[in-house]
Amino acid sequence: MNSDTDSNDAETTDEGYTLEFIAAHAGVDPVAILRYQEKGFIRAVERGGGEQVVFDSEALRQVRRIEHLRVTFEVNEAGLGLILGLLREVEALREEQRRARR
Amino acid sequence: MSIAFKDYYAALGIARDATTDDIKKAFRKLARLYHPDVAKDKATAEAKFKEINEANEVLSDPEKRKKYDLLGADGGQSREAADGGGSRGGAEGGAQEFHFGGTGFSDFFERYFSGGTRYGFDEGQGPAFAGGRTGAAQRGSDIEGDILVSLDEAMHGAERPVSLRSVNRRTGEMETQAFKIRIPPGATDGRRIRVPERGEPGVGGAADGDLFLRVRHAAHPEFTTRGADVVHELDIAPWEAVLGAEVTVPTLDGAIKLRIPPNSANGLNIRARGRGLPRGKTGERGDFFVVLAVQLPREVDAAERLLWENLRDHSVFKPRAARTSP
Repeated sequence: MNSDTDSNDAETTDEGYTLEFIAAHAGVDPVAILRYQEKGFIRAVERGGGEQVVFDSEALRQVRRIEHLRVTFEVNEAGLGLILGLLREVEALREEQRRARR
Repeated sequence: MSIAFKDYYAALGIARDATTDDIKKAFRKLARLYHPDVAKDKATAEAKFKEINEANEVLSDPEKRKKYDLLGADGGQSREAADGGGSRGGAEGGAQEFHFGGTGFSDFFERYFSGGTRYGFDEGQGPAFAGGRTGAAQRGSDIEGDILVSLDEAMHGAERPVSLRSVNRRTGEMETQAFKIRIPPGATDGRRIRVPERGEPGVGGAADGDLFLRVRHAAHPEFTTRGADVVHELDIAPWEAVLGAEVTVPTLDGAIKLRIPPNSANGLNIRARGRGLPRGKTGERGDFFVVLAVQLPREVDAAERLLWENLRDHSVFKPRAARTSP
């Protein structure tokens, strides 16, 4: 089995991500991130000590998903709201169903 | 790649027409036997426990079960036919472009039932980077999958070796990456763990995609979870519900004594604060809930029968009275 040289480092970082980090890692402008947050497409987890907005990996994943929908399918903002809302609802229902079975 | 067909019905020792309830019961019975916390032969038990967990994961989900039944319709032969493109949780890049190891699921499960998805841009559809990047530079796609996490790992955190074999879409060659991921203490079911740059390689100097692993708590014979809360269903006798009782219940970190208050209703939730899973790095913990499940005796001997008759003749309890009087 091949493995990279750094393969022994456990590499999951689940620290909070800053706005800039999310923007850089999703390849979008920070202003867009704020707009998504304002629209309720993504949620910040907490405000760090100062006024810093902090996001989690779920938010990063969501921004990437938004970009995917926007770029690949040319979905506009109203469409994004609809799709993300539906996805969220489906996911919540699935989780509920899963819990009920356990 | 040939993958051995798994007989999940045999793993749980149930018939193909078993009801949801049968499945639950069979799973619990076996899980109590083989849970690594309780079994004597740890190594064998762990493999067996994973197998029944996986069987439960598939058969207790009506959709997965249906799909499984279709796969098994020809007695486990010619798997390929049933594997229609895009069957992997909505994978957009066609089925089976990547393959996980070390997630706690078998190859068979990974292939047909995991939530694994490649999520990103197809060739030539790269995002218009707002940062002004131009040309062919394109960030690699993210890859998503599930990872089975025991409650013990969720409680204390863990490091797990994971491998990801995928086709490099540029060279068309199969590549395997092996690495470790850290499962943080308090990893709740459904939470996604991001493993940076373990997704598909970027193009033209752009960054690699990330790997997102969704935490799936392994079913446990004694506990289920709701977020950071841990739930234990406690079977009790009718008189314990009526008279109250003191009982010892297991938690994830040792047994605790618990008082069942008199006149407790069936299904009552009794909370032990702060005995659940950790909540992030705050040092706080979720709660532990004991849910009362009043059990009735299946059969009674002559002496007990007299006692129940005595109770019937003298009790003023009228379970149906409320329905007739306003």
